[in-house]
Amino acid sequence: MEMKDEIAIKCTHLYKKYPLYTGDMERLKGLLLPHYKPKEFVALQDINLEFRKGEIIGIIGLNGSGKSTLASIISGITYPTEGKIEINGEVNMLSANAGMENNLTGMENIDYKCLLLGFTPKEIDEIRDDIIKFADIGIHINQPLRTYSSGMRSRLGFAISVHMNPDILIIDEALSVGDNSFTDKCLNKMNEFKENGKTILFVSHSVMQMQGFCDKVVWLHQGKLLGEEIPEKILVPYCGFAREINGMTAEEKSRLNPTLQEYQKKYL
Amino acid sequence: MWQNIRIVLIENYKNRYRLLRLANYELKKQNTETVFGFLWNFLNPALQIFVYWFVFAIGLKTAAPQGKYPYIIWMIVGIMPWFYISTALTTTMTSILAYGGILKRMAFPMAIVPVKSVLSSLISHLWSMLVVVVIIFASGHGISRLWIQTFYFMFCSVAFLVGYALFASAVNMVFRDFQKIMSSVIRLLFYITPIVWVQENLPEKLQFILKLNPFAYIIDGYRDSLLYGRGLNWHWKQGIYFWIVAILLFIIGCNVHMKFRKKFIDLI
Repeated sequence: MEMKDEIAIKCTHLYKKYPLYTGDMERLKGLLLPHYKPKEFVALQDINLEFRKGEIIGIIGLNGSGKSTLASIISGITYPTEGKIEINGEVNMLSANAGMENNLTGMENIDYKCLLLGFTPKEIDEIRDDIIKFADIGIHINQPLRTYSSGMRSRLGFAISVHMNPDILIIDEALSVGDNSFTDKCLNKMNEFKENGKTILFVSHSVMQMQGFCDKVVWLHQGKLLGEEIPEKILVPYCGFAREINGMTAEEKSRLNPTLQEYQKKYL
Repeated sequence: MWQNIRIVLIENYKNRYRLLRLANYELKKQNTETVFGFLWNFLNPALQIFVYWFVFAIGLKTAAPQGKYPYIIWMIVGIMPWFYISTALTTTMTSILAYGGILKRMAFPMAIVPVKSVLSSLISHLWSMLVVVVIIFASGHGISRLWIQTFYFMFCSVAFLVGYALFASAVNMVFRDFQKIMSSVIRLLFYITPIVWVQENLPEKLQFILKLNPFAYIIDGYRDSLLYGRGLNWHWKQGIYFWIVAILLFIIGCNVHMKFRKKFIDLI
């Protein structure tokens, strides 16, 4: 397992801050004047992570914990405010709904989205039948997308995305798009990626899916990294934590400063 | 500064294939769902030309310069490139904003987005010029080898518009009012560029000022090539001036684009 020693993703002291502008004038000032500092929202705080090639990593956390921000920084969509990120290999984010056009038919959308993703026409010809088979939406494939149900839309979008072949794959809440049989199909596809030695970053709320699939889980809370461990040691404490937080008031939540050890002691 | 220009050029060159196909799709998207489809690319201009012809030739009794051609042909040759330029000026401005859904969900070569909008206007312009050439020919005026020059003026317009597109799409992300300002500027440009009325009767000083408008060079160029059989040397001073402006705009455009591109996603 030589491959496992190579680093795929490395974050050092990563910060992402979003300025909270109160109006358009302030936004303009903030962008043009170098010393003008508005209030900031810290989405990620001092994140240090290292993932090896071929690892399957789950990212878990409540809404607003910074999971998606971290995923989009790693996929190169947005940039960190401070800190460094090193990526070895091509990254792609799997997204069901991006790049789908309402006025084009399902068939045309396959061409269009593949094009956006950078496929050549020859490559598109090669995978088109697979995509149609994977999406499995029957005669609707020749109808305009606006007539699709949201499930059908996502199925098609997902079927296209899944035919990318990057070194590092990022899945952000994308597996919950279809019915159970479709989710199974997707998970099988993910396992195929896993067997092919891809690095996969799996952002999800579904503890069940992570349990069987990930090598390692990272827990984020309010932009901070609470810990990274094998799934067994992190998922149960996380579930306990999530249950506890349900009964809390906003004030109690904001005062909360959880640590992984604390919840491991409590729930393991 | 030069590094920024290099990045923009390389990104566009590397994705040239994707760029062209996306430009085509953009056109396709506009006309799907209409019965006449592609025909609207001709019908709409035709209706507008009729209105202007009615106002200027019948209502205001503007006569064309150099009696050889009727006003309507003189006007068509000028207004066709203007339709293309004004469409490009408007659509490129919002090109990055309109691609927000895609840029937010996939790592996409951002520098091709504004360029793609220019190309898609150009493609539809190429078709309409084919019609114009047929009209000139059908009205009994011969073909001249100077017609080839039209391609040079198309190239001029692309060079100028690409610089503008990079600049305007970036500025519009930071300062949305830019859109409103530009739509008034474009309306004004229509009347100060020699498109529907003859400027040769104006005092020389005023004519000189109006020639500082870079689009005047392009529109005059179309007429010189297609109607008057004048070579490029006819307006060589204006030509040099045009290229200085276009190159400067391109340098500024690339730099503004690169300066703000890391922030685009957070601004959508």
